[in-house]
Amino acid sequence: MTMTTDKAAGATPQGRRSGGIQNSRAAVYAQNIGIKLLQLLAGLFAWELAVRGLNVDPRIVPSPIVVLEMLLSLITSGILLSAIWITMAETLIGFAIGAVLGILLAVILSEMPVLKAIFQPYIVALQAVPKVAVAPLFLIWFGFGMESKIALVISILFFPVLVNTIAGLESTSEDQIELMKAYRASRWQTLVRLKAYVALPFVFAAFEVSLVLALTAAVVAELLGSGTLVGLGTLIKIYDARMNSAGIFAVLIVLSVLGVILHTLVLVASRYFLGWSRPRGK
Amino acid sequence: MNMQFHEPTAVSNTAAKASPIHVSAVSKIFKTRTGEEVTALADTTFKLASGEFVSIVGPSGCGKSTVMRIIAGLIEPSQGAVLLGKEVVTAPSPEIGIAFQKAVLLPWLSVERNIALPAELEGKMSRGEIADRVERLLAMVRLKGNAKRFPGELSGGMQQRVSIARALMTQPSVLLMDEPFGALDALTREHMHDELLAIWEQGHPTVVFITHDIAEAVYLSDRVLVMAARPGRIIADIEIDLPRPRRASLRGESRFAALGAEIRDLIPH
Repeated sequence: MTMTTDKAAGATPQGRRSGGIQNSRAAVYAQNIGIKLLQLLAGLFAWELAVRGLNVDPRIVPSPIVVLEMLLSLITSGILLSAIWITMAETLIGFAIGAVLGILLAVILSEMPVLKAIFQPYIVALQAVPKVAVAPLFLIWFGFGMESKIALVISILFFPVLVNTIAGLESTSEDQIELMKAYRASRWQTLVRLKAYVALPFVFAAFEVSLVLALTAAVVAELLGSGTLVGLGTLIKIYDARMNSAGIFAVLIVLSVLGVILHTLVLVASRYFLGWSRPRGK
Repeated sequence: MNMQFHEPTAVSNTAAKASPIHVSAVSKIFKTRTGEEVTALADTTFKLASGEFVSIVGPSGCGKSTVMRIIAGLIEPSQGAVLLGKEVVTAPSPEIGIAFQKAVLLPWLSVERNIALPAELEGKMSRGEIADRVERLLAMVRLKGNAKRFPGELSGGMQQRVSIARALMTQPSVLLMDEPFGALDALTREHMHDELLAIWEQGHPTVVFITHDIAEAVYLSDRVLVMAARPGRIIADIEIDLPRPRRASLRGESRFAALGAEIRDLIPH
């Protein structure tokens, strides 16, 4: 560990500028992954020790070995993959629809202050409703299929996206607006060439928060009522009915991994699209 | 607009002929939040001949920027009117290029795209013409090789030069500059003065240059208008009879110092 950092520090200036940095970066990544694996193993070991040492009832907290076995059988039977597929479809379709609707409405409201004044109280009121409490209504309206899950996902992320995008669109500086005015930009040009860019960091901030919330919403919707489609939430429900804690733990691990992946995807996308908003070195 | 293609060696900054400006009995009254009326500008009249370089100096709050914004068509006068050529100014005109106190570059656009912005918004030039023009302007403001960089990577002086290049993009016949060099260090500022004069001498646009730096106003201008505050008004119109082209050595001459002193005495403290 110290060896790699020493190497990087001792590299020649030229080496550091060209391949050296990449090499040492790769080393740092490998090192980070190594540390994380160690942490994970240590955690699992502590878990196993605790379960054995304290003689915990496996129906309350199963041993990690049993959980991993469960996970393996879920993977090999193909159940896990199809469940991931269903839950991710609900999450991502809901995310796409919710994000597009939220951004569209944000543009309309911020461009038309009269409409915004009319809708503002409704938005505040609806935003205050705990969306999960509306889920039973979605089941009545849209049935036990995917639609009701997608509806809950949309309702969860719509408001953060809407409110953040409005804030973003309105965060242009007076100087920027005057610049566009001085160069006779049309309203549309001001929207797509100025406001859209200024709003982008706000939109991504909303995505960052709401994509993981969207996954939660999909799982909660499945827990509350699902038909023939077996997603990850449905799996948890099935294992719950059978008192199979190991199964629930296995699904929770998968959900945690999916959540991290989604969050990472948003971060990568925001780095790509918002490169200009970070200060650059020379 | 196509003049540059007839004489490929010269960089033409202006359309056919620069418009004269006539500020006629213009006043501007702002209302504060408490409903009080503040006279930012009281009954102001002055003229700029075609291709003339005129500076407006005065203490802060004397209405310099208000005058410029009214000429630019960014705000309406409470009374009076501004004539650009023979047209009454009611909205920002395509004949005018503006450089603001702050560079106000768009951080998500590269230097070349920032400079091209006015032309892209106007939509009259072809891609080829825009690329050509941007290249000339980059050379003019000595930023060749920085076309692909982003504003966040540039020093304050470089950013300001990008903003001046942007103001020249559509070959405006009138250039309005609101303390464009105010944020620059003294050395960069003097260098920018010579560059601005070189640009001006190539195309002779009519220039209104707002500043609170008296030496800057004397060095650059044909005439200097001195303003006073509360209410904002013009209290003197000084002819700068220094020979052109102006060179840095001028700054040490007694006539230069005398003109500066004359203007300084006029500005109320």
